[in-house]
Amino acid sequence: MSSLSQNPKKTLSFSSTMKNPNYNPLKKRLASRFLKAMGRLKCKMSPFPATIEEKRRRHRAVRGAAYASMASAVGPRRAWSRALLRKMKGRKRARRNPRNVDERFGLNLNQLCDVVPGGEGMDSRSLLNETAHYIKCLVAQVQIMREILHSSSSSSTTL
Amino acid sequence: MDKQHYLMNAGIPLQIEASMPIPWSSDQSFFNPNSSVDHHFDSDAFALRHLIGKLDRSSPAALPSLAADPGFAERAAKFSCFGSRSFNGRTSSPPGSATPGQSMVALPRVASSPSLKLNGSPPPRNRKLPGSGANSNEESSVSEQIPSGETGSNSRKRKSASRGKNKDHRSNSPKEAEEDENLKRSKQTENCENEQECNENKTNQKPPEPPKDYIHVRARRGQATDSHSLAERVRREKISERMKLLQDLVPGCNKVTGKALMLDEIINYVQSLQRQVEFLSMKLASVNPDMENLLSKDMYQQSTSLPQQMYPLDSSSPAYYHHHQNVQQQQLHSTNISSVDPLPLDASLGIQIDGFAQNLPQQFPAFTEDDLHSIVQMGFIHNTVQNQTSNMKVEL
Repeated sequence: MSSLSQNPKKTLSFSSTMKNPNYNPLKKRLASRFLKAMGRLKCKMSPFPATIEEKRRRHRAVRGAAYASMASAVGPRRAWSRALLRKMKGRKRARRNPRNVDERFGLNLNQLCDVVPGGEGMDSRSLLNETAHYIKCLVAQVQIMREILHSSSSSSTTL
Repeated sequence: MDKQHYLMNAGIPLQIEASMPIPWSSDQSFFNPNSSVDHHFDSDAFALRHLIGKLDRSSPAALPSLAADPGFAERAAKFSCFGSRSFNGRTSSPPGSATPGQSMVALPRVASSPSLKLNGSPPPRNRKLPGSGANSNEESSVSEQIPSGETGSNSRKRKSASRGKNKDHRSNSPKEAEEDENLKRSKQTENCENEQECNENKTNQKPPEPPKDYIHVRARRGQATDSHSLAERVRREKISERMKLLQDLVPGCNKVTGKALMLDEIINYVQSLQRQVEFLSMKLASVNPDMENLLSKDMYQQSTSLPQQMYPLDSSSPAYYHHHQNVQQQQLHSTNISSVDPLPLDASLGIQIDGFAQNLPQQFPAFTEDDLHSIVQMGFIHNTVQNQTSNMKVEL
């Protein structure tokens, strides 16, 4: 908890300097959205899941909440967030673009397409752009989740 | 064919393929009346006029206005490879003369890439080049325009080499000037110099010229100079730019060189990040009950947009959880313990109160059981609305 109280505005140096049309830096937005999603999940979930299936469901829900909050915090500005949001809403791919990643540069971008959401219909340059932004958001999300975990665990020990 | 090459070189630096028709008359605007650097080129101008006469005779229909331009020969001489010019800093040249020079020495294999962004540091490169005069010479322009991406010292060496070659070629007779010119130009394409300079020259030439879609890229030394490879090279550079960006993002990628390895590293990093998200989400799901404390605290700390009446609520919610000595809160706590689902109710309390503080401004300090029930009901309503988000099962 102390970490959270002291770093409410911790942002990645990259993100704070780079884009941010919003007033809030990326990490803050991510954190608030994720926490809201988690709160909503909490209300729904039973405190002590008995079966493994329940646990798995909760786990999937939390993970989905993480990605969804990440995508919604970024908004439709990025291709990967758009792809994620499409997945959330259940619309299976608004466009089915052929995989036109140019291979002639000797880059193995196919794996990257699979890893980064929405990476199929893009050329290599934009794919690399999206990857960079995606990495940044993933790092922020992981940090937030870790902080939440640490603070929750520390709070449980103090209480 | 040579004549075509020459015309294209002397004309508009637009298209790449030699087979394309030369849009002569459309682009005469770079023939600016600029006689500032005409002094040295008289002999060459005469040779060029001769050439032009020959060309006119051969294809009169194509070049109606070519010979009409009186200063064209001078300018052509200026920018052809005939004269002995010194390699020079092009920044000193006036843009008007620089413009036709660059356009004139548009090499036959110049690629036009519509989206090339001219990067690099042109001014330092220009300063690197030794120059004797302030004139913008076609030789210097050619050699300077020819890109290589090499360091400054290498560029100087190559400039002297190409300078020597140009001086040799100068002695050729005017009749063979065409072929020699093309040869020289091809050689100079091979003796490539700074690409960024060339790009900067193109940026210089951009404003006075008519609006064009293409940005010209000069070929590099020892590399193929057809249009496709040039465009590919441009794209490759852009990709390498992005890769450098990614290298900064991904930790521990400084030692790795080469695009394939870098890409593998990047993919591994993204996959590891996703695995971390999975792992952390699993942990978060398992340590569920403790979340509401820090959730409310986090929202208190991180949400800046909450209205002012939130603050007493926020301050009291952690107080509610932590300071059990307070009578009110003990009451509430006991009621909560006695309820069927204590902790989710607390969660709903904490979160919903934070979320809907506007709706319940007066109820929170009271903390009666009725208030709790109403709040819980509101929370459940909210939950049913929000069910879809919590029901997401994203398989990523």
